[in-house]
Amino acid sequence: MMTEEQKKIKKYVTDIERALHVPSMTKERINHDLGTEIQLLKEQGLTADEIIARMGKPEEIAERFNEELGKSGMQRGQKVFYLLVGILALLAALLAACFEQRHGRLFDSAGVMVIGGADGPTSIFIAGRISSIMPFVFASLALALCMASQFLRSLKGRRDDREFLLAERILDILAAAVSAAGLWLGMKPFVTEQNVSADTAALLANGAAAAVLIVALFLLARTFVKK
Amino acid sequence: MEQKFAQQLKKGVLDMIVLRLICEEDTYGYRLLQKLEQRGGGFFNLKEGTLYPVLYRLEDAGLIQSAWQAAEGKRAAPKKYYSATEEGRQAYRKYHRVWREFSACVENICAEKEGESR
Repeated sequence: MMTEEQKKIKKYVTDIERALHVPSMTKERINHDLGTEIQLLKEQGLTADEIIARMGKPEEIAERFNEELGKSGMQRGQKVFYLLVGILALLAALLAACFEQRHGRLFDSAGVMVIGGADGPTSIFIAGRISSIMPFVFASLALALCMASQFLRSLKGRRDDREFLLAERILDILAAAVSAAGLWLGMKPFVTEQNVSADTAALLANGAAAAVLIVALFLLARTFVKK
Repeated sequence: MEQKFAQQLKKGVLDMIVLRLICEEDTYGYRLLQKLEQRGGGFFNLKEGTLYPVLYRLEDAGLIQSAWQAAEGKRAAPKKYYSATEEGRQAYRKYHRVWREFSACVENICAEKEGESR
């Protein structure tokens, strides 16, 4: 059973870890060194509150590590990168959606019905086009959401802000949901054995969408592993 | 202004100073912080976030190594100790030689300038 003192120390160490923006190996190193230091102070008879007062606020300790270990220097470049890619992804999603909506086929899963009188090969072609654009829209949207979430994380001095943490989580969940939907739509023609090979553009768009989705999922996975 | 200048100097010699202290005896991070405070004349009152990255840098360069050592007493937990490697001891001797040459050079330049300005 953990005592109140042990709980305070555990929370303190966890708060430092959360505020660290360093690779997990370095985090482990820091954890061992700070653990040794806390242990020594405990052996000297200091209480948890005294140890915390002596060592300083978690975010201050973490910030020094972040500065020294070079992550903060990268933050400006990272922020610009996240913003730029996010905006581009959003624009790509909007343009693709607008293009499809203009042709009245965006959410029309029964695209074949729209051109009722068309012959067989044309129907397949249209169906292929619909299934190829939707994954692209979803993939771009997922990437934009990921970038927005990463951008929030890269902002300095806002770690203890609950609103930010909540916003990050909502964006992560939305990105995961949109990614999953995009992946399903991208895979659907293959799973249901539609004749997508007839349309090279559809295959290319599916490939691009899959690549973007993989990036989005990678970013999400990295975020969760970091936590 | 003075503080900024002192900070820059400190940054330049910190690796050598920390390496020196570890060459003296195997030690852990917190003890190093205490030693630097006691012997640093106010210049080396460091925080954890400054000292540990120096230790990691030295360790990654193979100049020091870390190991867990059991502490005395049944209830005492093991602690992470740092010790200098042979490569680290050699590196320290080189660093110190460069430092002596460097500081002598700076002293010479400053003495010349002071003589001229009089």
